[in-house]
Amino acid sequence: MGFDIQKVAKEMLSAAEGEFRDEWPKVKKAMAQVLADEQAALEKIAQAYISGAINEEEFRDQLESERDAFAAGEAMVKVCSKVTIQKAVNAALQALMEAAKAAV
Amino acid sequence: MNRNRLPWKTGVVACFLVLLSLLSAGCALQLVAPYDARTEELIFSDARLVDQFYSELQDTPEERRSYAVFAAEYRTIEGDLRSLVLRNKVRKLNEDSTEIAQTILDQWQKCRERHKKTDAYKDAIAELDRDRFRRMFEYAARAEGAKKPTD
Repeated sequence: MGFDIQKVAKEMLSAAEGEFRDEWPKVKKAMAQVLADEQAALEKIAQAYISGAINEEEFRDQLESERDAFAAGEAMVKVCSKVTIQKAVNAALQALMEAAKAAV
Repeated sequence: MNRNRLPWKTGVVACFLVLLSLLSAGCALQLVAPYDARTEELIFSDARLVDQFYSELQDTPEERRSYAVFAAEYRTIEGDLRSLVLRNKVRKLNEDSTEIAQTILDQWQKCRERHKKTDAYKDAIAELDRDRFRRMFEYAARAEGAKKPTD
């Protein structure tokens, strides 16, 4: 059995695309969730300041903490992105392995 | 002139064999640490402890929320959060999850120091802090959960 590099490349690309199609919406959803969380949190902080429940120093302190919480959300999205890339590349490698096995 | 060259077919077969042996040996791209069930359990357990802490704090009238009343719980939870950071830190390819755990610990220490300094904890601040911890634990759990193999 021969080894058609063009055909194998197409199979690898298709395998990687399949993974991206399944996984990428999860990454987008995770990022959208972090942004929505942040918006809701900032609204609550602003409301607490406007109502007088917290003073200016506490307001600034809360905003600083939110910056760190947002960074934690970004780190979570980074993990999801890396997992997506990992799955796509490994799916392509798997397609290559199967083609190589068939050719030898 | 070309007598030292291997026939190209032999070269291709050799490449295949090398590739096959690499792939068969489990050679795959690894960008994040493998999923760890114990870490996920720790995240849920620490999240529950922090949430319980805030339940107790918010059930206590504001004028009776002196730092001394909660000092022991602060210490216990800080110890648990340090364990979570360490467990993440020692795993290879795990910088992002370590960052989340470290942020949770830093925030906890910040809240503790503020409580100690002011010897008070306002309702409004407790509500905002509690909500933030809930979100950060959720990020930690989702990051660990994303590493679960799908097969």
